[in-house]
Amino acid sequence: MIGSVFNALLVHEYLERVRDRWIILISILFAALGAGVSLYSQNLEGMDSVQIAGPSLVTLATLFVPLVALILGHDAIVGERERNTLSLLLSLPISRTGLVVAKMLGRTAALCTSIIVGLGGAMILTAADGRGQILALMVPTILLGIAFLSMGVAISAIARRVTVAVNVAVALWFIFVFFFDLGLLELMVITEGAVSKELIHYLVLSNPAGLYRLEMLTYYNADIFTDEMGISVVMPSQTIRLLIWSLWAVVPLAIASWVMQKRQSFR
Amino acid sequence: MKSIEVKDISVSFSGFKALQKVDLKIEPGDALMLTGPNGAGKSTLLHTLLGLVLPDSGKILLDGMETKIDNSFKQKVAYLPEAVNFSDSLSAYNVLKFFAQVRGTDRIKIDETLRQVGLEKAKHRKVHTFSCGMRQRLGLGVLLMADSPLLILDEPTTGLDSEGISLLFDILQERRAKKQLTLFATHDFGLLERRASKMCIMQNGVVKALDTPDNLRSSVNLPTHIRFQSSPKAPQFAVLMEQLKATKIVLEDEQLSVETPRHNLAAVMSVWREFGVEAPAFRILEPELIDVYEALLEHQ
Repeated sequence: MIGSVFNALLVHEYLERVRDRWIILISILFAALGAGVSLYSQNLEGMDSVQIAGPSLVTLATLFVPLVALILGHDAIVGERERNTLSLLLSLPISRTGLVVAKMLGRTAALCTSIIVGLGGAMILTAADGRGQILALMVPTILLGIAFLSMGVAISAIARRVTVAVNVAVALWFIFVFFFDLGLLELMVITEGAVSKELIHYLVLSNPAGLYRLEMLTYYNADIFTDEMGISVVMPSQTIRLLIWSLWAVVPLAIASWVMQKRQSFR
Repeated sequence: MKSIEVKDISVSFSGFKALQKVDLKIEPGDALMLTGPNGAGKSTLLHTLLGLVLPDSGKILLDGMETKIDNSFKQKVAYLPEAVNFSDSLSAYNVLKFFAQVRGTDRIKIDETLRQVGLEKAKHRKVHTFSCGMRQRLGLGVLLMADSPLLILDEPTTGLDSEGISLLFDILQERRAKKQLTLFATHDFGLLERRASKMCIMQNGVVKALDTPDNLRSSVNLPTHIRFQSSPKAPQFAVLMEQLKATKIVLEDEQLSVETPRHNLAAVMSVWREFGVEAPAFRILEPELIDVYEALLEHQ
């Protein structure tokens, strides 16, 4: 029965999220833009369409996927609390950690659906020989989404109001997707190179959006982008990269679980 | 589950003592009503039993054995929070389907339950279009399907119309007949009059009184109101009542009403019998429970 509560919650979370009009809207937009990029790159004469489409899709995913993930995660707990359904859920035979994990997994499945629809749309419109390279985006993009989804769930456990959670989620999106790299460039300029490029490189890798961008641009051999940023790309081993992704998936979730364990008020 | 007992439970929130050494026992067939002013600790006590609040000290005994509020305990409990709500995107049918799945209940019961709670015509409507009373009815449907040994209700009459309250009464009555345990927090004294077997009055996190409604009435010894039918003998009877030191005597157009301490009732009846066939018929009106409640809080 305990397993059935977990499974029921997981399935419920998935179905509810994939029916969410905002998630549907953003997924369609992502798919449409992805398809547009693919079609545009195929029409460029004398150029490798995947070399153009790949990095463009990476940029697109770096913008969209963290946003979708944060939207998916931000109300996981606080939304239940505000609707006065959290105490009812916690009265069921499921632990607080179980509830957080079920919500995370259900929403992860919804996120995967959104990403598969988005990138799948681009794949369908890409020439057959380029599909493999678009497919290579799938797993890292899902990892990127999980990292931000986990952050969203942590926000939802900490925030006491949905409006606060939304604001924090949007702020995090701006910080990680836009301001982080800009901040690092600013740091390099202000310190006139006193901060080592190596440190900057590791700082870029510590940001899931940065790690994803560098990982995929390296995959597409699009060094021109990173060279322009003045960053020497030496990608860490796959194990280290997986460790970074795992930490981003697990640590915010663990924080969410810890906050829930400490919580004594559910209204 | 035969009994659940709360022993010496204390709960504090950032130094504020929400519950102080609370003792409470619910036995087979009990429908125990928790009442008290706002902030008395009623919801905190319910939440402690649900594992939503962790006590600083004290223990919970299940059938006389100390127990933890873990998943195995929660399997035996059904809970209806105050102003219950459900996921906006679900229909009434899907809410019951979800809880049937969670509780391992047969889905065949869903339609029957929706009929019982009067929501069969709204079964495919989304919950967010429901009124507060309809959501509460749906909550009662969840409880009906769960049929758990221990039922915990927080202000269960919120938003319910007369049909809904009647449904709630039926649930409480059936549970008492089946010797199941029920604990509810409410301010609705009308509900208590009809269905509660015991009443627990709380104030400032402390149990001020816990007993059956009859015993609580006796303990405060509030005056009992006796209303006599109109009779030419009424003035004569009023004089005798004065001699018995009735606290309030009102005589209007040969109609007499008297207030007397409960312990004086036997003497009043004795005088009444002496009048023989000419004695006016009467009605004894027990003190209202709201008066008992107020007297108990003042007394403490």
